[in-house]
Amino acid sequence: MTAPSRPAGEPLLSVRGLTIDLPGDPGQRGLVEDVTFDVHRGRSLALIGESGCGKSLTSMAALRLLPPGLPVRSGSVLFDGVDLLRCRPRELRAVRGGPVGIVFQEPMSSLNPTMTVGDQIAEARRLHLGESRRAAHRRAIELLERVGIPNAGQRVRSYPHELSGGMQQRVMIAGAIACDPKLVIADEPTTALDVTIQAEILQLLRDLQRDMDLAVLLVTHDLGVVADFCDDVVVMYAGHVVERTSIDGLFYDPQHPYSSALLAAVPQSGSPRTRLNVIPGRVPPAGRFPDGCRFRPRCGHDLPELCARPQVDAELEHGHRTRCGRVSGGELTLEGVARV
Amino acid sequence: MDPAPPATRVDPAAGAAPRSPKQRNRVLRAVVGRPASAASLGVVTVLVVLAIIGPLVAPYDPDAQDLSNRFADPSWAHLFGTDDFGRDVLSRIITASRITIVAPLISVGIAVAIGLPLGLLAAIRGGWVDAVAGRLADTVLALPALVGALAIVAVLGPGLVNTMIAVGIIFAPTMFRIVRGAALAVTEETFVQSATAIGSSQRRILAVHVLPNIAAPVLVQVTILMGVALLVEASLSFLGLGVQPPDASWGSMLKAAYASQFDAPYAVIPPGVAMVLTVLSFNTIGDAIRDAVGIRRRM
Amino acid sequence: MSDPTSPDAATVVRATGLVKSFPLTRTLLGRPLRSLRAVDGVDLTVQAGTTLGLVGESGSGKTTVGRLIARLAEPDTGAVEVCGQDVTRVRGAELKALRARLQFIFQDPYGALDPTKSVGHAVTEPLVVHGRISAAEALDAAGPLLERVTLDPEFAHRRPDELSGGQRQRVCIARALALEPEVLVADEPTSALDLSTRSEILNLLLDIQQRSGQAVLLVSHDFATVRHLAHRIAVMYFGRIVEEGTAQEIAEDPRHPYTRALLSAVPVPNPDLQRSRQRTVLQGDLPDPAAPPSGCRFRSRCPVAMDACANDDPPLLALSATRSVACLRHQPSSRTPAGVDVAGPVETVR
Repeated sequence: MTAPSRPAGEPLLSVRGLTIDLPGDPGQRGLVEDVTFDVHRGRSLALIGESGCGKSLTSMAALRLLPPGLPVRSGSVLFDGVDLLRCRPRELRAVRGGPVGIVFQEPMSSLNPTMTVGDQIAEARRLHLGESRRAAHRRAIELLERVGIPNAGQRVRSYPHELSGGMQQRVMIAGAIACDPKLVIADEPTTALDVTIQAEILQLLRDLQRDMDLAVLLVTHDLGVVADFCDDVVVMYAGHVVERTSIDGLFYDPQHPYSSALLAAVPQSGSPRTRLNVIPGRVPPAGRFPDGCRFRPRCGHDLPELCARPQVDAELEHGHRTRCGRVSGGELTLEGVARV
Repeated sequence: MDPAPPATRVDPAAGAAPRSPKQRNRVLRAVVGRPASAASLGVVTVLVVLAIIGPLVAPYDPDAQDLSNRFADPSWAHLFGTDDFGRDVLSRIITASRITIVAPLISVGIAVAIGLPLGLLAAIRGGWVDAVAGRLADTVLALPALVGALAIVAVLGPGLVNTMIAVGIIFAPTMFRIVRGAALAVTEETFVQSATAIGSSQRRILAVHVLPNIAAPVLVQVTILMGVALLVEASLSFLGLGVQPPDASWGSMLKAAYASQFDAPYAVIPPGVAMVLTVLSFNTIGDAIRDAVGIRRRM
Repeated sequence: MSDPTSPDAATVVRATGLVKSFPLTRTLLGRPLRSLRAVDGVDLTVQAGTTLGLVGESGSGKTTVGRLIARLAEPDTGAVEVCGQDVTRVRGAELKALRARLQFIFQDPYGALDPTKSVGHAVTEPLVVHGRISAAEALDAAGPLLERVTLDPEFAHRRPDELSGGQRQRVCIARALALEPEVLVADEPTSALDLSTRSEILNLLLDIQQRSGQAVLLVSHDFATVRHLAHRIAVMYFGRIVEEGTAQEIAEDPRHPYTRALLSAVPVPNPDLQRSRQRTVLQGDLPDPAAPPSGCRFRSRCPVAMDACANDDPPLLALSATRSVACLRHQPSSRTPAGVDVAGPVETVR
């Protein structure tokens, strides 16, 4: 199989210049700064980075789900032509849970413990599509069957705590796809699950994606999941998008030192008991981001005269973008994973 | 009284390993750092100082009667006026501060002396020890505090010390519950398992790892109980079961003032305000410690 | 050191027939009513200077096995030997002596350090407890211990809450190494850590073993971590070891259907490789731990289950000198030509 080529046409979700201020520090080194990326119809995009890089914040901001007190300073989030950051609350509510489904990391805390799973799924249908209670209930059973829950007719009356973690995550997904969405935003949907259950959930998402022509925005820190599930990748570091590319572009031809360092830090099956790459230091806490390139203090390729200046997001060939001046200036070549 | 139970005696080696007093500093900083709790600490400090040197600074002999000068209004001679025997109210308030501070200390000391070791034991041993101690605590807790204290005083005989011992026994289950709960939470922490894994004895684990980590909640409870004990002592003295005349506590002074409210309506104010201020101070300090502990737990 | 994977290297840890149950519900008097067998007959050995990776998913009992071997819990039946000495039920001074030889690294570096104690206290406490140094000497002793895990000796004065997760785990490792143990049991030592910190700790664990030659029992749900560190791997499912072999054998030629499913479920951070792999996606959930299926415990999710699997509980049998599998498909009676390649006579290991 060859690497999927870049899709043509209007993106389904288009995030442009998204900037979120640090509370109490307006205008200074935003928590998330100038984040730009597109999710295309029927494709899946991974948002990756270590914790503290702003990837969850970005995905939540896209649906205006940020906690109060975290102001979006600038930027736009266009979904199907509507700017979600500026539309009226009514329009926003129509989008959330309707054409955009959401799956969170912890199914147990995201499902309402006092409602049956059937009612929770049916609620979305009734709210967004105005279906009758009876029709929505019937549809909920179909949806539970669709996500592979055995005995859906009985399970529909279960409460979340009566289900296992894997089953709960299936219910979350059933809720997310209840209103035939075009996009599903999944924030670490398998991190809390065992790996065999993770494989089941990813397979389910893959099937749904194919059958419903779904676009998926997957927030994850697991490079294996990225290689397994995604088409495109956005790498974030300390609130900046540092690289945007296809997965093959990331793994075999990374164009940002952070991406390259991350790849080298992961054990590869071919070379057990060898030393792994270490990225010295840690992600700086919000508000203490350095000037210029934010990865500079941990980077093995730091050139003060170049890297202390603000880095611009530059396009290389095949739509591969990097925020490293040394790479886009052509004087630095990086290594990825060996092809097999 | 010595609240340190045998189970918590420190190993010779335990105390001396490198240890910085930062945790205690953090609590202290939190208390001093806020105006309300800093002022409260000031009030308590003044009270303690007065309790120690009171007789030296009191303008008059607190028991000196001057029947010709009963219910005198406040004046420069008698700042808070005089009472039904013509005694100087300011001097009596100052002198009574000793009882006011010592009486709750007896109660809280007894509560700690009973509650701390039993709570630790129940948390560590579990099983029937925990079950029996828990039932016992429930039984005592089921009695209304004042009624329980009255019953115990009926057995021990009246008198301030007996009364405060009674109050201490009533408090013990509360302290037991707090210690047991906190210790149980701490013993489930990985660092206690880690201490087991390096071969620490149970005694050392208790002294070095459990006690410092439950100190803060226990301290909070101590300040709260100090306030409550002060009020209970005042109530009992008010009922005539506490301090016996001519000795005075703020509670007994309040009682006397209440009895003569038609002759000197303002006489309830000095002991009343002193009491409110003191209880408030203890509670404010307790709150500050609790918040400081919250900060530590969140990290 | 001679080839550490050879079977005749000195056996440092030997566990036989470990069984451990936990009560699920109790009567009013605290008697267990219903209980769950977290570990149900586990044998394993760890050779000097080698790492045995114990891998499995939640509920497999791997963590309990680690705790039983480290004497943080006592088995219902079965025995643990460390360097030939039965330590299953030792107490008092003998238990304390065992602690000096066998140390545990905990999963959660955030909870494993007492927040009221300095880093220096944490790393020297084992030495003080065992009377190797006096408390007064502790501060001086902290420096070298911290340097062993490449932390600045200055850290001795810091508090755990001033440290990052990776630094804390270094402190925990320094503490575990203080007594120069012959055995390390590491329970998910990297799973609470971030991506880039994880590699740091994995490198450190490798270095330590290469320098001091401990026997290591590495307990983890993450096959990639186990594959990276371990010489041998044992795969657990539902309280049993279902397959054991050298790391290479398990990674490249898994035999037990559960091992195969587990491995195929681990996504490889390499898109080409991942695209070309065959995925065995299991059906269904883990069974109820209190009521495992009859016969083979894996049969309810097994893609190749047969009727016989409901009746016979397959024992762990040796396929070769280095490998054993607990599966009816790999037993002498039903051996399929493609399935098994037995070098010597089949012998029962359990």
